[in-house]
Amino acid sequence: MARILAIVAAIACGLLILADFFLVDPILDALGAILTEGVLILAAFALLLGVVNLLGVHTRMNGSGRGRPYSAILLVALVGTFVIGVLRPASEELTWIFDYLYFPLQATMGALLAFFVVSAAYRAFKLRSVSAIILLVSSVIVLITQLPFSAALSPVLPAVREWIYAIPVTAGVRGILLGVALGTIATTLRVLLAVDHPYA
Amino acid sequence: MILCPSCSQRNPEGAATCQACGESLAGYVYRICPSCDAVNAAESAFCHRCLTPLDGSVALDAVASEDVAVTPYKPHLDPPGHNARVHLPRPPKGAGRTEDPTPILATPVTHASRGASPDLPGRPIAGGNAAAEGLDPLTLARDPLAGLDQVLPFEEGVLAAQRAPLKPARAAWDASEEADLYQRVATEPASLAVAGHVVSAATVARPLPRLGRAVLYLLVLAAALAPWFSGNITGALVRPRASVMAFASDLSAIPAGDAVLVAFDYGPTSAGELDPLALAALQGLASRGVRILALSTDPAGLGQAQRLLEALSAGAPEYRYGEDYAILGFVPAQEAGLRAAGESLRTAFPLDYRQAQPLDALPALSGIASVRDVERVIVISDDSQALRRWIEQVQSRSGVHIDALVTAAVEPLLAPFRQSRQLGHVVAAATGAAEFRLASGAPAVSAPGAVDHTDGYAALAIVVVAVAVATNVAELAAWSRRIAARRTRHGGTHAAPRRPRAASGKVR
Repeated sequence: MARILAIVAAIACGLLILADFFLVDPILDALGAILTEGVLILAAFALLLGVVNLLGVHTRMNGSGRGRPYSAILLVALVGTFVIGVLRPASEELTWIFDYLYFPLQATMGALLAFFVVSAAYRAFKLRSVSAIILLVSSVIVLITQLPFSAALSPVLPAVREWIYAIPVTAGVRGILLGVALGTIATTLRVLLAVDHPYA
Repeated sequence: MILCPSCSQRNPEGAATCQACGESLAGYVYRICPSCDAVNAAESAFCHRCLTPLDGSVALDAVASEDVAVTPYKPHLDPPGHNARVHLPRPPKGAGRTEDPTPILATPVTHASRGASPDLPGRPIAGGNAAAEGLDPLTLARDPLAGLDQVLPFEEGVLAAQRAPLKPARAAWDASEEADLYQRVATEPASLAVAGHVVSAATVARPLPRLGRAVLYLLVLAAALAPWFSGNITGALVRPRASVMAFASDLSAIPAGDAVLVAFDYGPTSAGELDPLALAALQGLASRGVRILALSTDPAGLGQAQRLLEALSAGAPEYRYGEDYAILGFVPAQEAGLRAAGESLRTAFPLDYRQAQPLDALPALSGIASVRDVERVIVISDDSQALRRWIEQVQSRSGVHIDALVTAAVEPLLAPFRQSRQLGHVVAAATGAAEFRLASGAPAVSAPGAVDHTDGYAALAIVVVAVAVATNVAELAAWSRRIAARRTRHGGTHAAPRRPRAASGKVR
C-alpha cells in the first residue's frame, strides 16, 4: 500500500510540474512553487545529511592510522567552517577562510592542469591516423585563434575559428544534446508511467 | 553468450575463439556439486549455492543429457596441488567449439532423487523433464530461483564472478577517474591507459628522448611567469572580437538604475581565467550606476561574488552594498533551485547573504520581484551544464536575456544555444577581459603597471602548440632515419617497411 501511495504521489507531482511548464494557470503555478520549495528544503537536509555522514566516516577511522591525521584536519576544518558559517555568515572570519585557505588550495589544484595539458599534448597529439591528424590540426587552429594577438596575425584566423565553432562543433554538441533530450524523455515517461519507480 | 576466461570478453554463442584476444573457447568443463548438483566452474573450490567443498567431486567433461545445454567454461591454469581444479590440454589455436568431439552438457538433476529434502516432493521447475526440485524451505526462501540453472543456460556472469579475484567495484566514469587520468598523464613514466588503449612510453617518448617531463614543466613555468617579464607585449596586439564588442555595447546601453542579475557559478579553480573578465564586466556596470544582484548555484561561488564585489566597491566607494549591489545567496538543488529563484527572488532568498536582512530592506532590490524584472542575467561559469540549467529553468520560462561569460573550454559547447538565441552573448574569458576593456574604451590592462594575464595565456598556448608540432616532426624524422637505415642494410633493394602501428589502428 505504501508503495502504491508513493508511486501515485510521484506521478501526480511529476505531471503537475510538467503541466506547469506548458500551461499558464495561477493554481498550477502556486502548486508548482510549493513543490519546488519542498525540493529546496529536502536538498538542504540532504546537504546536512552529507555533513553528518562525513563526520561519521571520519570519526570511525580505525585502520592502521595513516589516514587519521588527515581525518583530524578534515574534521577540524569542517566543524570550524560550519560553526563560523552558521553563527556568522559572510563574516570576516569566513571571508578569511575562503580567501586564505580555500581559494589558494583550489586555485593551486586548478593551476596544475596547465602542466597536465602540456604533458598530454606531448604524449597524445601523435599523428597515427586520419582522426589524429584532424584532431591535431583542429586543436592547433583553435589554440592559435585563441591567442590574444590572433586577429593581428591574420584576419582569416577569427573567421576560421568561428567556422569551426559554428559548423562542426555545433553539429556535434547538438547531436549530443538531442541524444540527452531523447534519453530524458524516455526516462521521464518510464517514471510517469510507473515502469521505473526508484523512489519506492 | 560465452565469457572468455582470459579477458572476460562476451562472445556470441557458438564462438570458436574470443573476439577480443583470440583465445580458443573450446574444451570446457564444469564441476557438479555432490550435495546439490549445482553447476560450478571447474576451478571452484566451493559450491556457489550450498558452499559444499568441491574437492573430490567429479568434473564433467562430457555428460550425456536429454536436452539441457549450458555454456561451457574453460578453466584457468592453476597452481599445482589444488585438486579442486581441472587441467585440460589447451586446444590448438583456431579450434572451434564445433570441432570439439565432446560438447559439454549439464546433467539434469532431480533434487528429490538425491535426497536433499526427502520430506518434500520433487518440484518441477520448468521444462518438464529438465529438473524437478525438492529444495528445502530455507533454500527456497533465500533464493526462490534456486535450481533454475538446471533448466536455463548457465549465466556466464555467475562463473566470472566466482572465479574472478575480489577487487574493488569499478564505478562509472566520474570526476575521480578524470583526476586519476590527469595524474597518470603527468606522473606515470611507463604507460598510460586511456579507455582501454595503452600509450606506451617507449613508443611515445622515443622520438624526443631528451625532451623529458622536466623540460616540459620548465616551459610551462616559464610561460606562467612570462607576464612578469614580458611587459604586456600581447596587450597592444589585442583586437576585440565582434561578439565582445556587441556585449560591451549592450552593457553600455543599460540605463542607470536598472538591475542586472549576475550568477557567479564558478569556484577558485577557474578564478584565474574568469576573474579578470568578471571584474571588467562588473566595473562596466558599476560605472554606469547599474544595480548588481549576485547569486550562485555553486557553493564556492558566493565567496567569489563577495571577493569581486568588495574589490569593485573598494575601487568605487560610492558604489555601496545594499544600495547599489547585493549578494542574494546560494541556490541549492540546481534545477529546482533555479526554477524557484526564477519565479520569486524573495521566496528563494528570504535573507540576503551578507547582512542577513530581508530583501525588502535592501534598496538595491526595490522593484525587483523576479528575474523578469531585471534587465538581463549574466552567468559567469566554467560549466556548460550550469548554463543549460539556466536556459531550461529560467530563460525558457521568463524569456529573460542571458549572457554567458565562460572559460575558453566551455565556449564551444554553448554554440548551439547561441545559434538558437537562447543565449545572448557568449564571451570566452581567456582574452575576454582585455578585449572587453578595449571595447569599452578602456585600456587593455586593468590598471597602469598591473600584470595582465594575456601574455601568460599566449605563452602557454604557444608552448602547447610547439610541443605538439615538435613531437610529430621529431617522430617523422626518426621514422625517416629508420627507413634509410633499413634500406642501407638491405642494399637499397628492400622495400620500405610500413610504419608500425597498433593492430586496431588506434593509439597504442
